[in-house]
Amino acid sequence: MNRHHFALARLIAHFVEDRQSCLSGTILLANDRDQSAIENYSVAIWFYVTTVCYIAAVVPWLLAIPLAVVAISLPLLSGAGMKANGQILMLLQFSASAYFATASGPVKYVAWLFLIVFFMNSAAWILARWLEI
Amino acid sequence: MLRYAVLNVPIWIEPVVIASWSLFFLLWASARRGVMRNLKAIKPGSTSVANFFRSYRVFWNFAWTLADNVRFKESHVIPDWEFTGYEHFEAMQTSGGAILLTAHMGSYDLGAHLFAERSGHRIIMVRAPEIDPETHEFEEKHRAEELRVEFNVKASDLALDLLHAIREGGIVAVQGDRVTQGIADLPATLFGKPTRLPAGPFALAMAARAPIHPVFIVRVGRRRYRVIAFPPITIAPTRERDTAFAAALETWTKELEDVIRTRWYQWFTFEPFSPELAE
Repeated sequence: MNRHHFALARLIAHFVEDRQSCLSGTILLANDRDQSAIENYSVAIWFYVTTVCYIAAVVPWLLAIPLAVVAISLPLLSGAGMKANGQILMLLQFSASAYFATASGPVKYVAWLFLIVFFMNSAAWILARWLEI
Repeated sequence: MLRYAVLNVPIWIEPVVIASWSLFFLLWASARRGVMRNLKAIKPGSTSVANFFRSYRVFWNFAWTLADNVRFKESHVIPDWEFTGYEHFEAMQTSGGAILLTAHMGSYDLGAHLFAERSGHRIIMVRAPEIDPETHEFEEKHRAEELRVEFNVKASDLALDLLHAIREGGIVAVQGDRVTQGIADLPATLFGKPTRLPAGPFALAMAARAPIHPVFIVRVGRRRYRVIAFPPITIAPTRERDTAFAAALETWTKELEDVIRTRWYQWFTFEPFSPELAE
């Protein structure tokens, strides 16, 4: 049973987690890929903070905080469905990261972090498929 | 709109979307004031500023339970379940004909679906009428096979149906922490404040000679709920109805207070529960 969404998290869980150990008589665990709270909150916060940083590179910080919510919500209005919207958001963030990676100032570190994690996840995806996780 | 969001928001960005939408709930002034006044009674001596932020936590949990409920109905994604008092929960599932008394906490709907799918009994959920026809249609379309929903429109007609259902081995699920207009009630004291609680579950238990199982379904984390089951309350048929009801009600209010006191952020009562708090 793997309860993680992203390949990197699935791979880490495969090697690190003591799977099934928390199964007991009074706990009923759902077998679903999006069940990890730690993964879900970490990715959501990281994605949001990254967006705030990019917007703050252009506008003041106080304005960037609510604008980041708008920037994340707008692509979701496409109505393309959960999976496609996820891909659209990631593609937009990847494009923004590629742009800000060459910028001057601390925002480039945020962009590089995103790009590194993105590529690590891509590599993990290939490995996860090979390992059939 | 909620259905659209569930179908279009990627799961991994859900916390950001829910956190921002919960802020909009804060603009719902009457509900926010209601929650803050209730918190004043639940947490004596608390400040208005602290209760303002606490009300955000109530709305945050409310938004999550709504989303989990719609996601379950739309995609059949179930959350994780934990149990406290599992033996009482199991006793309810094995016994035929009972009343499940719960509160406006966590996800009543998700819990009812869990019981309906796990126990062999038919579950009859009693709830306030759904005003929006589209929501009504959605609820009807997505309910489980073993789950029947009765809308509390005319209490006298409904009582007979419920009595029959219990005698046929069904489980009637009722929320016993709030009364709506036209519903028979009993005087009670909650957090030291006078209030009125529904009389129906107690009268039904006496008439059907069925136990009342206090069960609470609380959200403990992302897609994780806990079923808290207490020992059953029995009401023996007696001529001293008022005394029997008062004793049962006292047990129920004590359990209700215990659960709400520790999980105030899960009590989705958006109006002051006591007339004293409304002043």
